[in-house]
Amino acid sequence: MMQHSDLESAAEERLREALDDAAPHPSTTHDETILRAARAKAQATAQDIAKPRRSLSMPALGIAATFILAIAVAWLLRIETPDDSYVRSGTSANVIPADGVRLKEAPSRFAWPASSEAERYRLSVYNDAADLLWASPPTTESEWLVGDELRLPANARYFWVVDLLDSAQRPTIGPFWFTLE
Amino acid sequence: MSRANDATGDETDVRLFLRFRDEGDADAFEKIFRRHRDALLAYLWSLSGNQNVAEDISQYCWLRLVESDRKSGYRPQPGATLLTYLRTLGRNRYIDEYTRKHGEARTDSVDDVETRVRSEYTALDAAAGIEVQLIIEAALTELPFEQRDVISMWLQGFSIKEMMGLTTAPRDTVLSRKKYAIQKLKAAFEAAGLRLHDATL
Repeated sequence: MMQHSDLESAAEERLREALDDAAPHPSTTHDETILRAARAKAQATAQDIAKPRRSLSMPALGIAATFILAIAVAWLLRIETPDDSYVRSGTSANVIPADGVRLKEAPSRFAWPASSEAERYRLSVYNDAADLLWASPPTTESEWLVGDELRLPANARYFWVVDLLDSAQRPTIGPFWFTLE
Repeated sequence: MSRANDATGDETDVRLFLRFRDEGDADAFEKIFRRHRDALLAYLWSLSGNQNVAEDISQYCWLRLVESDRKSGYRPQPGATLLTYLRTLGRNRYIDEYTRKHGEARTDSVDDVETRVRSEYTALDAAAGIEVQLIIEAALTELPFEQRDVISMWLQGFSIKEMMGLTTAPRDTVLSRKKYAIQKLKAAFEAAGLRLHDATL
């Protein structure tokens, strides 16, 4: 036998369904106006990105190339000697650094669950204002050992996401947040 | 009503938004739009009780998102989804533009509402569900804004705690507003002769 409270909640549920069913569908004008504005903004952004930047002089290019090469060598050396002191997570929900954690030092390692949908990943780190601070090159590992490429000021909040590359849907893991004290 | 999950599954709202904002990817925006369009409009419709007002505000919210840049507009926040941002923007807009400026709620009686609806719309419209929508709209607009505010959040699956946060009202007040709003809506449905599934409320 149904209790009064059960009847009441059943009635509430029917009311909710009726209101949901009666909710209007957007007009074509509504959708077109919004999508047209979005396409215009996207086009302007894409054009802005494509604008040629000031060309660098040859000496400056040489210095930059040397710098990039040095970072690449350092990165390769690190990858070849992974730190086994980290405990590998057995559950897919675990990421390092954990979502919402407060850290006294910048993370030395980012790790995420491996996915069968992608062979390569790209890690991106953003500040609180969603400005991209750094993005890794594509990597086949489900972790990134941080070197000098990423310097994060203290007393700030950051989030990071991992793009699953080579996947038709381009899914993403994250965002995961951490605060640096 | 489904809620967007920002941490797993398909490409997240935050990532899509950043691809749109920073890379000029229009498809990314369209994915977000298709994902949340109906939920936002349903929320604004139950908040305002008027499809035209709901569409106006919905359009405003989406255009604000389009115009977001690094200095202003939407910024991802921990624990708050993009849909939460859109709903909050829409609710503030409604309060500023429609509640404060245009003030008073409609005061038609339920009989007036039924008569008006039946005289203005044809049987063909009724078959398309337009009449039912209008009866519900009229019933919604009869509620005081505070009750409609709570009901619109309840329809979206907000918890009582979330409602308390947005309305800045104590728990008992929120529960009371919800209770009276449901009672009035039930009465309006009965008066209009609407049956909900296999039983009247």
